[in-house]
Amino acid sequence: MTARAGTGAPARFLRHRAAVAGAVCLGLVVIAAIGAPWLAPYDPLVVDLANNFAGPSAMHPLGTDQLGRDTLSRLLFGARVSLLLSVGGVLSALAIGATLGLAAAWAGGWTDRAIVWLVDVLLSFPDILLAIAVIAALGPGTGSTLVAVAAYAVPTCARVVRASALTAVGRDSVVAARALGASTLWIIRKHVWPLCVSPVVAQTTVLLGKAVLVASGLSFLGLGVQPPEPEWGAMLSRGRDLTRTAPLGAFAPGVAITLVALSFSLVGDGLRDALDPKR
Amino acid sequence: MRHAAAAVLRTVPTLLGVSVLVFLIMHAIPGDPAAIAAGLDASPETVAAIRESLGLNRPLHEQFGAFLSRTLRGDFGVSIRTGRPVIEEVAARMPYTLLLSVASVVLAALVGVTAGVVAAVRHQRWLDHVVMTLTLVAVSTPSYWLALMLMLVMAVWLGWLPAIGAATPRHFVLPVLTLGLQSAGEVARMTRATLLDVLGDEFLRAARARGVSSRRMLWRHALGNAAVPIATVLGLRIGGLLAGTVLVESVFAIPGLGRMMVDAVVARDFPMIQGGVLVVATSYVLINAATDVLAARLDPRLRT
Repeated sequence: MTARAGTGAPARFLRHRAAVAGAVCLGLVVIAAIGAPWLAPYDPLVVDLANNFAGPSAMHPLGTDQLGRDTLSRLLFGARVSLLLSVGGVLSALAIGATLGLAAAWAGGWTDRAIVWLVDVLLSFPDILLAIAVIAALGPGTGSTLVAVAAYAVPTCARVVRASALTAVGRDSVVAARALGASTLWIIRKHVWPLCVSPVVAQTTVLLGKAVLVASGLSFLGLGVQPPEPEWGAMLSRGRDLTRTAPLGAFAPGVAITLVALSFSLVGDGLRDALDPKR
Repeated sequence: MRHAAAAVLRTVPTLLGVSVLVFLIMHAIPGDPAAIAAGLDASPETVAAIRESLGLNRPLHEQFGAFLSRTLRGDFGVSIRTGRPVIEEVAARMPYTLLLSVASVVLAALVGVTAGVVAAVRHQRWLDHVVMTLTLVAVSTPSYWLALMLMLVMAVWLGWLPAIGAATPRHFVLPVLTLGLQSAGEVARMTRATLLDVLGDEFLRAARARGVSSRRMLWRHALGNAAVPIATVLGLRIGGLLAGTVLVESVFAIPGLGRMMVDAVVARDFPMIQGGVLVVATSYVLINAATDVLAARLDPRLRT
């Protein structure tokens, strides 16, 4: 069954035109992030006060910000921060969430009830509130933002893994392996986790898009990545001044955030359809 | 009635967990919260005074007990920065955030349901694709950026509306437009999905066979059955927006609850943060419970 899904899924994904467009867009952003030192025309941190709030020109294609820093260069370097925060945060969340979800589904009883309760409690902080609460405890900064993004994503990861693991635990193969005396970890690795992979991959990709929005939102509020570090949300934190003086500088970072968030959700939808054709 | 009481009771364990987490905001990191709150150049006397006022001299479980009992009595402590009771500040800020959330959900309902119905009726035609693309862009756009762009066009370029502040009703047009249009994306997707689901149902085929006109069928039979899931999404949105307004409040300099929390986080004003987070999370949980009760009242199938 796995083999058929392996040959069929890529083909199904490629037929999903929007998802392919999203994947191409993400590929370009990854190239921008890795190649930033070579692609960027300027050092993103170099201040040039004589040239502040400059409009677009041959020297500065996207203009400059309030300190005369080149917007295009900051945008390219900002891709690194955004991708690292969202991927790092969501992968950490996945490690924690998968452990919780598997433990809940496997153990059942009070362990399950306790974990479900914890997930419910975490989901009681709507929208960006849990992330803000984490920053409130740890103080603003890049490291805290990573933890905040992870905290935001943990309950969703735990939920998805628990739901898929629950169906796996009831299967004959698992019951048989248990009866034969196989070790818990071996059964989980061989018979439970493989059934969780498809929903987890799809859901994680969608979460990555939301994580980009959370991380940049925190930085916009001044609670995330701190200046002078180039970060897309932080670039907009002086946005009100920019709208009056250099609108392009307020426009470009938002387009970048939207494109990345949109691409992640398109790819996530495509992956869900490709990996789980029954739905 | 029994159902409503049970729904409220079910929130108790969750709310208890919420209060533990909110309490821990001040104790999650090693070190002295009083010293952090006082700032780098505070005198030892100031730190000692803050430590005293926060009750940090007592063991942790006693502190939590005291925190819980005074919170239940509506006492959220005293702001470190202003010295005023947190509850007064929350009460002064709440109306702005509540107004923004409710007005935005009303706009989201009008725009979202209309767009969702149009998309479902024109399923798989170009209008459906346009609506679906727009809603996907809407939910992927950072709200504060949408706010900035609306401000740029409507206030800076056209000069039709004031850019910042909360002095007159006109000041709320752009913030409500931002949050409402964004939430409309989610509402439209939900409306379309439930309608498509319902339109495939048996009883509609039966109604069609009875000769019910397609317009009457859509508005009366299909939308009537889609009303409960749509109402649920709207209920969830009101609660979610109580926190989601924070970014837009920041752009338009609206003195709401979100702005209060952000300022408190920057100033490390722990009682103020705890009060704000607790009020928003509790409201969210209670609004969701109320939505569930309402949904069960409208649709007997959802009763447990």
